[in-house]
Amino acid sequence: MKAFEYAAPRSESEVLELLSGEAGHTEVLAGGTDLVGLMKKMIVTPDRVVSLSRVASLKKIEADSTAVRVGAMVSLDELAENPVSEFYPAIRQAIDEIASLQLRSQGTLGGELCQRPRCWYFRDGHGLLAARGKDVVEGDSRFHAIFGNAGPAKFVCPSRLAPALVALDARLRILGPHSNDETLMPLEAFYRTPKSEREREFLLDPNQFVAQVILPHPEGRLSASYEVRHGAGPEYPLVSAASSILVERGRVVEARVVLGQVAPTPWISREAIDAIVGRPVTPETAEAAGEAAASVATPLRDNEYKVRLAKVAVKRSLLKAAGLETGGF
Amino acid sequence: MKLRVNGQEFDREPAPGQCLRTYLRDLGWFAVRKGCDAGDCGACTVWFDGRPVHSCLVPAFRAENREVTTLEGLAPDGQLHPMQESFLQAQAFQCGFCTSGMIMTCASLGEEDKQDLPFRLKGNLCRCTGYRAIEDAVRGRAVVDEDVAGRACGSNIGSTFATGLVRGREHYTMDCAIDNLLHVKVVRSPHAHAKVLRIRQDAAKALPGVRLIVTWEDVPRKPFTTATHDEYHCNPDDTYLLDNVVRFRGQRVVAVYADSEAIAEEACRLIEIDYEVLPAVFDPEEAMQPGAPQLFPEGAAARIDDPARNIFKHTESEIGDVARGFEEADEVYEGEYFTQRVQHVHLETHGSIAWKSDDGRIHVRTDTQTPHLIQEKLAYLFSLDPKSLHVFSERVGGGFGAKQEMLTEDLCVLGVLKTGRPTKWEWTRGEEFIAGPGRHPYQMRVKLGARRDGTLTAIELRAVSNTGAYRNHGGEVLAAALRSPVETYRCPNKKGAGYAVHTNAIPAGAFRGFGRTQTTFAIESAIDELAEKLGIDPIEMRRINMLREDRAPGAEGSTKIYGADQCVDFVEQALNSGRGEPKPAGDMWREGRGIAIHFHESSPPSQHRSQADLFLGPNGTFHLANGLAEFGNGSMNAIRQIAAQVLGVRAADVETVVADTDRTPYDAGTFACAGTSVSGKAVELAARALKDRLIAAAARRLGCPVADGKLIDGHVVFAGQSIGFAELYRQTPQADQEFHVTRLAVATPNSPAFLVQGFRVAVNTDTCEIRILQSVHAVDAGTVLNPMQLAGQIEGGIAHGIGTTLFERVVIDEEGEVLNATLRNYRIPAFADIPRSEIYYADTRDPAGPMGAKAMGEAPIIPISAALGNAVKDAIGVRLSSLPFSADRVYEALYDSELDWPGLNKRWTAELDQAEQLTELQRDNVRHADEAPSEDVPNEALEKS
Ligand code: FES
Ligand code: FES
Repeated sequence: MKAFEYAAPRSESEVLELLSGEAGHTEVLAGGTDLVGLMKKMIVTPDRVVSLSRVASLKKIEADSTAVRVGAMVSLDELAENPVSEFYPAIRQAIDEIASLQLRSQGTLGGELCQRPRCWYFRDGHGLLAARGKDVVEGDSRFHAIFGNAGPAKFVCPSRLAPALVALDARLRILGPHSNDETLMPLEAFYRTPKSEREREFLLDPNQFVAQVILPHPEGRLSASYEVRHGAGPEYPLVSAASSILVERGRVVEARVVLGQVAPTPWISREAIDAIVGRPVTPETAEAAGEAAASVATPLRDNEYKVRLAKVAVKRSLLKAAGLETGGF
Repeated sequence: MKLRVNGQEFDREPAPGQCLRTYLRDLGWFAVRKGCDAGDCGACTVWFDGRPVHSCLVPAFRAENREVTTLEGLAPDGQLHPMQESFLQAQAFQCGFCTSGMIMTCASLGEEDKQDLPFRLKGNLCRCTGYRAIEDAVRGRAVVDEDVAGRACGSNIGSTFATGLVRGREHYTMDCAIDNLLHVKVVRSPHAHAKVLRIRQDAAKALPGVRLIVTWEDVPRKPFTTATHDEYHCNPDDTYLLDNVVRFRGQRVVAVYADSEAIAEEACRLIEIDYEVLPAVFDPEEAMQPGAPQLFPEGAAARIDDPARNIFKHTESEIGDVARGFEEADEVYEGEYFTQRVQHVHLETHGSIAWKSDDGRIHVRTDTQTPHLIQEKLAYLFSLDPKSLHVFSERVGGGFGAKQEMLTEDLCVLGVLKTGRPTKWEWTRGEEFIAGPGRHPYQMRVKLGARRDGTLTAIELRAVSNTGAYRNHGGEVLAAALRSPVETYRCPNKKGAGYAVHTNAIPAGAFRGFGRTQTTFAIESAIDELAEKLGIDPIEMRRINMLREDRAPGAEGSTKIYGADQCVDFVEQALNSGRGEPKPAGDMWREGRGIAIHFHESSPPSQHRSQADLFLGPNGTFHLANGLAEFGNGSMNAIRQIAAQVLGVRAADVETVVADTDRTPYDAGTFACAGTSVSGKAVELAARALKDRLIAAAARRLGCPVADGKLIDGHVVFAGQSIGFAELYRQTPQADQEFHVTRLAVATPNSPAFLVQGFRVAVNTDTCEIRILQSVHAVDAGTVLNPMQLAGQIEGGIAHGIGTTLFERVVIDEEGEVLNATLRNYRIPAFADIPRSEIYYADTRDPAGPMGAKAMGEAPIIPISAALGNAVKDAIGVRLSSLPFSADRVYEALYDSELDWPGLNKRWTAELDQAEQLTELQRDNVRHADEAPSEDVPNEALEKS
């Protein structure tokens, strides 16, 4: 690890003062479960690390009649244990799948959303795009993208909560660069597919940070997350999906279906949404939604299997949201 | 920076960039260990304000004014926390390296959490136990027996270091504070094959704190092999301390010695090396083709069977007439199988520390499985008198074969010799993957023929082993791979051909199972395929053909030494019992069952010696010294039990020292199950000799007939009279010599152990998931010395095997780069992945083994992959012939009828033709490889004067 200066400010504005506008100079430290590893491997080499752990405002969960505001430094455990998570089964289920006791108490909501891709080429120092995607395409692409992979980015968005949060229409409150600057941004707009090594996989300037996640009141929407994994240990899922649906008189009138671990961003499946809206959720319609989602996949040489898993994940997240899980899960 | 650790105040600034794990260790809290340094294994778990965290992911600065608890502080001094007590009672560890983190996590669980261990323990990995014992501990089950005089063998005697371990007071290789330490880091080759042209070290030298930089020009140019075997010739010398030719990516090129690891690392980055890159080859079949890049051209090619084709070892043998056997067959099956490179992932990474004492001797504290052989090797490399070297281990955190190799000790001793300063080298987890030995990948072709009634008429096996850039264990592994898996079946016509081939892959090494795991996967899969063709039940197929009692070597008199029949029955009954999990609901789940068997020869393939030194102390207790190594295998406890049993005392009355070249007589080390079979034999011989002397001396004292003497509870007892050991010692002239014996044992072929593994699985045709519903293991291990320990070895082997079969694979790209050098991406089984196995023991006794035991340490892993493969085939109707059964492969099997696994190719027939033209020399080698191991070496007994 490169030697760095450690700062632990106590307020949001002090954080902004300590962050540099230049990429790579400073890093924001949340739970540390990803950043410390990246620093040990010298994938990131900041001169200063700004810890958010003492900023009390970032650790709160506040709810009113329209929304829940969750501070970026709320730990995954705290979020899952908080009564508000009752309203968002997709979030609680996603957290329940996440790694270990230790990582859940150390990891934070903000950090989970901002973790860097797990792509092994990136983690081995080949750069985020792994030589403009060539290393992946010619190498081992079993765990890479099957959607949105036409450009040089082949990695998948690693966040396990992002699909659920996007499905639930979450927004981010981003602070900076100056102390009164504040941006509210839908989470789906936060992620992007980088086209060059200069771009990051999310829209956050080096002197900005994520302060809160705002969850709109579900207003009767049902939601669920489903992860397909090989084994039951601490590994990342192969594919995941989260669905949020509003059902009226037995039919879906509104839906959000979002896949995870399949594209450089959380992948909103318009095809699945179109296939399910206007219909009741049944094993057949859910299957059809899965088929629809999978129909536009563009797998790489080694990851055709993920297309099938994506189909299954969509199907099961819909059935699970509708309370129709009938064995085999 | 101030903080509280275990209730004590500390005030100390962290080093720049330091994480809490190393910060705590610098303060002396050594129970905070490292398995990965990346938040994957949980060995570093501590409580941070009362909640468990991975301390390797917490920046030390964060601990300011916080409260940290490590295992050492879990309970007040002298007391045990209930979870520590439970771990002790359940003996929930083998090597114990995971234990501190495991206890810290488990102790944080509430009653409700304890119901959900698969989920709660995701962040703590254990490589040894298979987790059953850990579950027992959390559930408060006690398994330890009372230590009763005269009943040591057959009892669940707790490990010697158990109490220290659960309290966090046992010390592993890196758990010691030494002043003025130098730290080693190495520059590793970025190329798979290259010549080193120029090394520029000025910038690195100028870095403050850098004390020494060595390159190939600065080290003795003596060839050696990193592999350690008693018979040193069985592994050719093809390696140099540092070399100007690199043959795999990750090979060490320059060593830097500096005041801190950080400085050493920084210096490594500043060193510039010019290479002439040479063509590289990674596939062993390609490496054998004419025109392939040659790894060891003339000159460096000593003892390679065919340098031009990179064939280090070629062995071929035939009994009967295989061609005729196939003609006689009604059905013939032929198939290709492939096993991948896997890593041992012993939780303690390689490392050693060396220093010089005032008398000029060099001490090496290391994590080896073979301390005496390391001593010999170091003496040779640096032209030192072996007596000037002291090699020893304290606690060792797992080995599984990876520590039967000298990987770190040499550069540490070099540092001491060149600088006079104590020198330490600790590997990272990443280094284990890119430079540590792994299991040899095998490409295999099996052809079987049988009559309609199931009788085998011919077995033919061709195995190509990718031994990597250096030979180390490659030849021995090949020899073992071609032997017992083929010998498991009776068949008049058998033919085996093996090639251990050099490529520019990372050298492979010794690995639990030692080659047999690979070929058993192929043969046991093929037996099922052939049974299916014949319409015979796979279990019946094995009953028809497996080794029978009359053919088992060593059959004699009335002793029941053959237990294979019982084992097969046990497994069949268990699979039919309806126990285990039911198939999950839903059509997408398909259920299947499968078994695999293995006859295990339990001695090292070449010479192996062990000496035991045993004496009675004036206070009436015994002192036993043996050079074996204890790294979680339980051998130390086993030999203690053997001595106690013979001498009629409690195990606790035998103080035992192992793994120390100063304090123990010669032992070739602990591998190939030799811990119990050879070292145990030496101990038994010594104990019996000492018993005779005690009885004789007492008979003289008391005027009783020798024939009546018995040793009971610390006394020599005759009809009506007895004398305590301490009293006898006092009354015997020169008792220190009279009651001191040393005995030598040499590996002899002993009766094969036998294993059967059965699985019921469910395969999800939607998600490609494989779920194990039931796991059954039956063994014929002879007399069971310590049922708890043996069960642990079996469960650990099963877990290791499940990992190999379902998840594990070192992914290497076309340039030789390892892509998944972390435990996040190289997945070893977690608690949730491992079923609780039913375990059965056949009722047998091996007259050749110590106290009637057969050796078992590494065997249980051998049939696992095949049994799982057979169960999956039964479930989905498609054979998975390539390990591991990852989701992508299950998908291909289910949905892609044109099966074409990567890594296999169809050159085998051509190869076989070429193989006919063996040179005379090669034939000699073949014969040597085939014969040497089975040489009959009698047990010898050497008296110490
Ligand atoms: S060493 Fe910290 S989790 Fe492995
Ligand atoms: S006992 Fe758990 S890793 Fe060895």
